[in-house]
Amino acid sequence: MPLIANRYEPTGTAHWGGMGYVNECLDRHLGRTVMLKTVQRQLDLPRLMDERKALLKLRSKHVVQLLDVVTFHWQGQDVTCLVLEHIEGIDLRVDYTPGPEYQKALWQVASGLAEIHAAGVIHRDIKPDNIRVDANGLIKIIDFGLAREVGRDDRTRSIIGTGGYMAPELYGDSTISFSTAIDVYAFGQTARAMLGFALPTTPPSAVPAGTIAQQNPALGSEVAALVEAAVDGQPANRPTMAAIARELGRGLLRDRHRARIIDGAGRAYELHSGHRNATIHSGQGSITIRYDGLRFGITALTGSVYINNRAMAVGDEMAASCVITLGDAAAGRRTFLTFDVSNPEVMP
Amino acid sequence: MIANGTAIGARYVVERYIASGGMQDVYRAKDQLTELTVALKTPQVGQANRRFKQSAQLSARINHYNVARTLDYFELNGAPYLIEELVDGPTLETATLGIMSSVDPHLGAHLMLRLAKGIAASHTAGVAHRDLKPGNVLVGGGLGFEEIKLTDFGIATLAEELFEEVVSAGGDLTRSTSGTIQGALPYMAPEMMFRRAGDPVGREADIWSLGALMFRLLTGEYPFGEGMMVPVNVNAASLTPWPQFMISNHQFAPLALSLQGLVEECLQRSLSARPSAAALVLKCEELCYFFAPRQRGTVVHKEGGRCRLRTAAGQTVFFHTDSQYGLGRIDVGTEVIFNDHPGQPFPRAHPVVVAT
Repeated sequence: MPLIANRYEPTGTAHWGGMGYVNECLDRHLGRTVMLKTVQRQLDLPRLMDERKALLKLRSKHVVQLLDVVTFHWQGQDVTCLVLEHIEGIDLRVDYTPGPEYQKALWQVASGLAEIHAAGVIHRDIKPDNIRVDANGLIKIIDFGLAREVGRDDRTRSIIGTGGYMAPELYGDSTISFSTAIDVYAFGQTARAMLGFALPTTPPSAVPAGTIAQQNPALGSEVAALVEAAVDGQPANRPTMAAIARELGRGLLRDRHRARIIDGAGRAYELHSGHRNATIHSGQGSITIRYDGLRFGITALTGSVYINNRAMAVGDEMAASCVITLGDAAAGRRTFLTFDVSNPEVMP
Repeated sequence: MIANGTAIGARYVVERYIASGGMQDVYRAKDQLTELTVALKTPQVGQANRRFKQSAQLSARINHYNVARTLDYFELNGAPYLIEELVDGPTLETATLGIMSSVDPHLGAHLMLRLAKGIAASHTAGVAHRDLKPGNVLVGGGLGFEEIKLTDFGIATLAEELFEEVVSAGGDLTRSTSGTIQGALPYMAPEMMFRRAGDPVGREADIWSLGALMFRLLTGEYPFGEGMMVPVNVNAASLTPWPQFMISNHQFAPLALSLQGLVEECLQRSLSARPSAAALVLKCEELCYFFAPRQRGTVVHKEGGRCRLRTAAGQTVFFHTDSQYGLGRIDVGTEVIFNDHPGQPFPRAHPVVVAT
């Protein structure tokens, strides 16, 4: 067949109907492979347009990129296609073992979903088949064919999605309202499937507390608790994807943070995994800060200590960057210290 | 010049002319298909456009937040058009040295980390920029410095064609009168500056350029001077001395010294001695710094070292002159740029930089 839109060349045996509705093509303009996606039936065209709408709102490195939309004539009918970025790589694996590699993959999925939700989109079909890992290890979420906008069309009368990944609130026979929490549930189930857990396809039943840690003793209590919270039967009890991504990311950066405190005399105190505690004294008070590998926390205080002008207590976490004041304004002399932390990031 | 309202390729409607990038014209355009506002670039008449497509294909390989994304490329009536993600803002040169005499170490660390990430992503995709300078980085988000994006990989290869011409004509690159080369010289790696025709120039050149760019931002001066002095000074390894103001305030000295160390690592003559971009990202992530969107204000009160400033929105902010970084004297009426931190009864500004 000739070039589509004067630039896309099908690289294999292209079918634009029937079952083969995603075709690989070469974009001759930019010399890159792209995927042309259409729908099986004209009736489903609105779904393709829903997908287009969702993708246009999203700017995430963890989401497949929409490049173009083309309509052409094939076997006597009009075919409309989304032109999507081709992700060279593999589907998300379902044979991970617990460990940093698994947690990093999970963190990337969570970060992508957090960005999707921040853009007001609900994916509605999160599962390993719809998540790709590219040649650089970057994880991308694909197939927004069922995506909906938060608050606009987030009700349905038909049960739609993939068994095993569908939240309990999606089952029932009346009109159902749903929220981003259904993606959180599907994320939790995906996290289990990635470890080889065979998900039942029947309507889900409650996961008793402790189940996930029991099934995967090597997982670590923090990750197990997050996954368990994600598959909570009550949508309101599930954490947001942003909170899950934050927690997973924190775990991956264990012991990689540094902090530097500079006192009024110009002395610098460094805190990191090789030097976890620092105590700063002045005539007006003292503060001891400890780095536990995840957070900088206050472990001891004497006198009046303020952080960003708030009175502090033992056990409080330090803000990412702040001014520490030792002493009271009323008492006269005060000492100001600055506290700055490093900004390590998980590299996908 | 393309008239406003012209539809290019039945998809991109030109909204207005933005700038001439030396070798290409840049327009702001609306993509009718995706409803995105984009940058439309096309070579200026008379400029070689042989490599325009090749450079588009190169930059299209990079998909990273700190690189302006290539969205489309096509030719119409023999003219090539490149569609790129639009960054709503000025170049890094204007965004920093246009409003302050030098960049403080906290902002410097924020910028260097992002630039290193963009370069690392390019190198991972097998693409070297080869013409990094403050004019080839775009800053979106105003004083927030939110979007930091490398651009003009296209210019790099176009410029290379010009370099090739000069070099193969037996001409010394450093004696070229071309404005493009003169603008690039202060940031140009020695292996590019003194190359012979056909010599390959690799990704290490980007590391040198990043070092030179950061030197410029942190000091307000060129690392090896300007014009004809650049090759002389590069050859003599005669780096402009780091200014005293960078370390005279002990609040800023440790971070400033860390940055100076990183810049000097980048500016090593030996290619193998320079860190890789990925290594540089990790080193930047180790820096302890604070960055929140900057604000602008005017000093309204000064008593000893204790000052108050007022923002355009009418907010009063306290600071002590101990928090000042860089050159310039703070008096009532001085315009300053600062970060604010919560405080009682007023927020507290730190660091404070005099606006120019």
